[in-house]
Amino acid sequence: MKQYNEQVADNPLVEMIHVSLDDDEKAAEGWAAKENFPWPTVMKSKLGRSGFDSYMSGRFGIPNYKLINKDGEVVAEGKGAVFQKVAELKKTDA
Amino acid sequence: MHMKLKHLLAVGIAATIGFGAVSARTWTSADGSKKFEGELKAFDKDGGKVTVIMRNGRSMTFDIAKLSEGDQTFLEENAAGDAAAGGGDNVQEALKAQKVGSKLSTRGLLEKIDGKKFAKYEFTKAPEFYIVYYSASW
Repeated sequence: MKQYNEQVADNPLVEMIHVSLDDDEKAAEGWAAKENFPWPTVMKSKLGRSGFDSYMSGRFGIPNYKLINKDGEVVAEGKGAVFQKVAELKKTDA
Repeated sequence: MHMKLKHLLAVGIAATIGFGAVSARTWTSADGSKKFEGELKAFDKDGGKVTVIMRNGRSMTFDIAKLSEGDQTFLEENAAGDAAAGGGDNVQEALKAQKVGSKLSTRGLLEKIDGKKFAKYEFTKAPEFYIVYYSASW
């Protein structure tokens, strides 16, 4: 949450999206409410429509972070690498 | 104080009180006496107008002069990024031009927590990059 607030919330170049892999949407909602998630969520039932299912192949575990550009290319994977890349983007482009 | 801003501040304060902690940015009135929460939707630099989406989902537009110096600085600093990202009312068009954004701008796809429930959500910016965070409550 701290990294989101510092690096994403007011950064026009980047947005964070939570893909919920909960089968139980009420459970997903309850968790998001409890944690007061500031980012938008894609529910599992809408995963195919979002296109984010195509990044889940291979050795895929959760939690999982990917940084994807607007053209759909993965530019960083893993929480550390993703937020490091975001920090570089902000320094360079914002 | 302009009636519209009074109403906006009242709505903002009511929303903050009614829904507890909120995720949107905190805005402050020019005299510093009032604060409210909301997400920046659009900033018309030339016209000096800012549009904010309140916690209740309503969109409010008012003069930038009604906001604190800090908020005005924030808007000025973010104006370039907003324009680069597609800018205010053109956000949806900018998203539709993207491979990723075109899917995410589909109505009803995104949700965001509003109090204790999910509410439909639409982007207020067209980012160049997306952090996709896969997770589950279990």
